[in-house]
Amino acid sequence: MATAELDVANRPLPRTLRRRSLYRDAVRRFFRNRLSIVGLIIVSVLLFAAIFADDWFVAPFLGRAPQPLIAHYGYDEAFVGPTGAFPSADFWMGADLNGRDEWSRIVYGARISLSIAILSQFFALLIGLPMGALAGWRGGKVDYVIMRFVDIMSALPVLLLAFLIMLRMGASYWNVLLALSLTTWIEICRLTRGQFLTLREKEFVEASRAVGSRTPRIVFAQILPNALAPIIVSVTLGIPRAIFAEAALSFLGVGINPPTPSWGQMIGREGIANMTYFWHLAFFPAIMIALTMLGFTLVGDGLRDALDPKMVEGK
Amino acid sequence: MIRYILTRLLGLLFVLLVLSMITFWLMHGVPGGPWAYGQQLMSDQQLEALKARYGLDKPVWQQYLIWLGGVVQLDFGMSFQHPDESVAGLIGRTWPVTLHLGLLTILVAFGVGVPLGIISAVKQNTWVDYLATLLSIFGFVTPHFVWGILFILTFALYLKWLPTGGWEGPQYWVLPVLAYAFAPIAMIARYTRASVVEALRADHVRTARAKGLSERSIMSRHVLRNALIPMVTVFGPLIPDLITGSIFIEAIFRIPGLGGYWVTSTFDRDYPMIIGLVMLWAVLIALTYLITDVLYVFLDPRVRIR
Repeated sequence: MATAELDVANRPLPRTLRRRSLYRDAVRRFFRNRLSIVGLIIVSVLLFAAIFADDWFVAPFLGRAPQPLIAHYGYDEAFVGPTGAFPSADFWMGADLNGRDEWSRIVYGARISLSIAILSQFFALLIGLPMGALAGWRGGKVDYVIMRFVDIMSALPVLLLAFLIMLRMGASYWNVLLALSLTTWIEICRLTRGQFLTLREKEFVEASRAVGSRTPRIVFAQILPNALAPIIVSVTLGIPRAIFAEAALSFLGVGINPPTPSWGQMIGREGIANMTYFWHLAFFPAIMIALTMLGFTLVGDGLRDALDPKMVEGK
Repeated sequence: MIRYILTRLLGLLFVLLVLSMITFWLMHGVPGGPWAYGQQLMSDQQLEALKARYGLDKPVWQQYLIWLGGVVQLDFGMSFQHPDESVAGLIGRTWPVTLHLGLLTILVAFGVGVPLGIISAVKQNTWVDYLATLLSIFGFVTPHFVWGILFILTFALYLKWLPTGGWEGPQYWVLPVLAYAFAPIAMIARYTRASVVEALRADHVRTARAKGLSERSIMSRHVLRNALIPMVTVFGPLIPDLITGSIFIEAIFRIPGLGGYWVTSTFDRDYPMIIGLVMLWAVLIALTYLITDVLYVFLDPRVRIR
């Protein structure tokens, strides 16, 4: 048991030190990776556009409706002249068939897509993490029941499940959020359970129990921080998937209700049907979906590489 | 082995039973019924008569038992959206198109993805590798409907090389297959690369090099064999996904396949069709997992089934 001795000698003292330096190392590794910086830039620009599409943060204090900042017009402001106009100096991405400025709708669409994607992952985390932790920590019957439930949930096609939920609840922003959270917590639950299953058998947990730590302390202070890295990665990589799912639902007409713009809805409602002539109606939302998913995936990949302690530097 | 397969199949039956219950409950919980938004005006009596004819006037649990009774005799009921066709008939008519698209896609995905992954593993950290990595990131990240739109815009509308949609001959196959295969290509290339890189570092490969074997025989006999076995578990689950069709690809390219029915049957509250499709999907997924697991035992003698 040479390794066990080594562990005991190493672990207890520098634990907090070591943990801090893992994350500091991770940050360093993350910023050294060129692709993840590209991803970070894309994500920041999109977040900036989503937040500053209009001045919603000062409008209530001035007692007026929010006015467009990055967007040029309101998302449902229609003009009579340029119905279906191609991109020009006035209408950067053209106008849709209702005469609404495509650029403004794209910018407002970023707000919808990003907020749904990020919030749905947050809610999925709120469900998946406790369930997974419970299953992995308690094991036995609790584990069996939760995991069979997870198995059955994952046998249902995600899109169909989301689709049925949307039909049942009706198309709206909050219902899309609900449907996406209810379909994505499963993976987080599985992952957390796996982490807890392996970690609770580790020597440091045993040691902690031997010194008399109570369960909450073991779970929250010992296991959770160690289980967190892959969960962070999974949540980050879940964001592009949620963006895709929202786009897909809106594309099919059960997602975001018009006139609120969503990229998927812009493609599904006007884009595809008019692609042969008004190419810009499908092109710009499609590019935006791809770009957003690219940005978040690069960040997620970068995080995974940075947080994976097995990764040897320089390789 | 046979015992193992039988146990798994028994487990599958149980999962299907529970899954069908959940689906039944979910789809009947959706407000509205098959004729609620009908185009033709119907009197209340006519509506009642229709409901009675399809058994929709009974409580849901009774409808479920009736459906289950039919399924045992391999009768999946009549589709509501096509009243003259059974669910099995409708799937039998439209699935071949989807299957055709799916099999072509699988062929292209593996035909391109595996070599791409091997090349970028062998030429690690060269421009070939970076190009392949970049390509697979783009493929992985971009949804297939975005590829579909971009391909139509470039190759069909701008360059006018290929038709925009339809399903009539080989020239109609190219764009949908490419759009559909891009993500699997990327995924396969990525996993193949990782797997081959790992195999290249193995001790027995170093031994083979030290023995002076040719690079070619090292690759084919020592590296690829070991590298491609674990890939079976990655590739297996891709297949049911690809052969049940994509709503988006079929909508964008106007392909008369099964994919569209996922949506129309839900919109039309075509209950027998919805549950038929879910069952088909679940069976396909479960069978692929089973086949991958069994295949794994044959491919890798170290693995034993418990």
